[in-house]
Amino acid sequence: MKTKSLPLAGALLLAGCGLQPVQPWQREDLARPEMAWERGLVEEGAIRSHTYQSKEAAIGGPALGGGGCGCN
Amino acid sequence: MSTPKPSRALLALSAAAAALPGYSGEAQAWAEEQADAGYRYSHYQEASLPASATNGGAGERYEVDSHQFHLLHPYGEAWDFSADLMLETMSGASPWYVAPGSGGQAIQVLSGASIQDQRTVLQGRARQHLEQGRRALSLGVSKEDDYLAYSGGVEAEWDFNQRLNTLSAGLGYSYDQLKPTDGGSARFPNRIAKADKDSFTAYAGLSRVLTPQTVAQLGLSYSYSDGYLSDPYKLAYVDANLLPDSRPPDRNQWALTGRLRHYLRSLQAALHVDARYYTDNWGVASDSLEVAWVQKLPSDWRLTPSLRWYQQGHANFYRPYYNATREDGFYSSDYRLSAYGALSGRVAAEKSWRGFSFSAAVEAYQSDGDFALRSVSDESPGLVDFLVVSAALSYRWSLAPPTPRSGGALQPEPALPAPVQIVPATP
Amino acid sequence: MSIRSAAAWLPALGLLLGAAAAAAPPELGAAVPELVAEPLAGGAPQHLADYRGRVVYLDFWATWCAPCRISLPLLDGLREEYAERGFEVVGVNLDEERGKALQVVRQLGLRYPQLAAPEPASLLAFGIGQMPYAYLLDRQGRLRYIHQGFRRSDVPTIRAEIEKLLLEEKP
Repeated sequence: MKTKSLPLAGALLLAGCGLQPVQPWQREDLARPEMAWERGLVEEGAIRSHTYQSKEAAIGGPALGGGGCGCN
Repeated sequence: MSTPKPSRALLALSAAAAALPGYSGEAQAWAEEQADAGYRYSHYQEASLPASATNGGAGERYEVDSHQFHLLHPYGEAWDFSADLMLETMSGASPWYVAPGSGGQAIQVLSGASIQDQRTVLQGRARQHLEQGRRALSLGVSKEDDYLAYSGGVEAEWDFNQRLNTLSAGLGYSYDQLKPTDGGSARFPNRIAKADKDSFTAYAGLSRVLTPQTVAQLGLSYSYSDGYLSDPYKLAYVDANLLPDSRPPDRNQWALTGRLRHYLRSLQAALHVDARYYTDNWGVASDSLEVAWVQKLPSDWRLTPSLRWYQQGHANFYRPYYNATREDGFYSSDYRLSAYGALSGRVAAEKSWRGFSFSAAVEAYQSDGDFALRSVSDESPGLVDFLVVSAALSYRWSLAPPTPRSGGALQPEPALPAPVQIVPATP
Repeated sequence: MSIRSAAAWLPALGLLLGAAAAAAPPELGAAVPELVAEPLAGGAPQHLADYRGRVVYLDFWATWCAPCRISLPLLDGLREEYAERGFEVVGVNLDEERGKALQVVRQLGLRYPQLAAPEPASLLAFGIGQMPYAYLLDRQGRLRYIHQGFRRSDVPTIRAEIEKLLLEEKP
């Protein structure tokens, strides 16, 4: 299945770049707000995942989603 | 002695270095010396079902208005506290059961009466910043007319390897109680009057700075639910009878996630890729992939288009309707357990001005059997398409004490060090 | 099926755990590596050795680093307090864009000398582990104390280290 080989392809691609350890002073771009894991203001990620979770079967991710719902 | 207010440069610097919730760098090492407060309004609207898929009714579906309030305030250098309140009003008709039409096609029957419900969610979190990481405790309560849930969790993050890596982990528990409207009444004798469930969640994630412009994260999460996991308002059409929706009493859910953030200097933009593979013991497996492009624009504007693709296989006991009874007694025609695929497109614009940030976003979500990679044979007639529009405003302010400084003109930066002064070494 | 797809993620996990090659700073008491850099505002290159004879707080910082922003005005205050006893703060800005750093220095009214980033190769010898990163040098130019990161409550510690070195015999 195409999607299953994606992570492998991604890893090989990144490994092929010949990674140098990133020095502490080289992290300006990583510190930019555009690079945050969570985008947007006021818990945007929380309400988006709440919306998807109430309409789809799947849940889960690297965070705790508190407070479910009796959604119907 | 003058005590100047925090200068504009300091505020500008604060704004630039702020908002780093995910980055595993030094900027996150201790609590920020600033607080923020914000409000978001979202309107969720489901599209009407086509007349061919319903029992001839208008097919009007759900709509939800949400108000979110957020507050984050540090206390000293090591602690910060956040509180989130969400108020939601839901209304509209909801899928009730699916019945075969005259030609055998599945027809979605909607609940006739319009549902009206209010949902209130309050969550609080206390977080402690440590030399090499953070740990947090969160508590929450969620209440609807027919539903009550208490939840709590602990989370920890550890930065290591010169802060190139961050390991994160969390444990959560939730107790949910349902008291369905009209449950056990003469009108709905099959509807349960009261039920509850327990859910445990655990996750672990590992992030890594790969290049000066790239950071990636892998995560694994597991959730176990035990108790009443069916939908008390839904029915299943089984051999010309309508039986209550009935699902297994426990569920094991696994999710493997991968996230990547890459900054493109020449374009002043960041590429975000979020992928997830999910599987559970009900036989559902799903994949999702979201790609976003965060483009910085002049005058502190930011534009973020994103595209999300999702697909899932159906639960092994799911059917749109049943021609015969099942030995295990599990029946559900909930579209959420059907096989389907979904595509959603979103665009968000954000503007920052001094301590204020404003954003507006619109998202359109469409689901269809054809969006799944594998062909879907028993697609639910009740799949949702929806539109969400939202607007948010937040304000961030500095809590740094003013720096005391004696008066007098500022000396210019010396081009060369001044000659060494001869001062007695001992006072 | 699910196990196979999970296995596909394993190489990615290995990549995420690759260890960083850590450059070590000099031993305490040893001479510091030479540092030659232009002043942030431009001009002839300066040598760190030019500051010998004074107790020097050599501070590596950047505008995008949050703890740095807390440290800058406080370092300026310490420098003002101890300057006449022979103390100096020397900032080394590691931003790629000098203009942005200069703007911050001017708007905060920082009065101590600021140098622009030296050659990356010469920076490696300082073993910078996180930002900000500071060396405290005695009057002979020897490394005596390293301060990593910055919190407002670190000031008393730094102050005590400075006072200790100011009390030492002059060369």
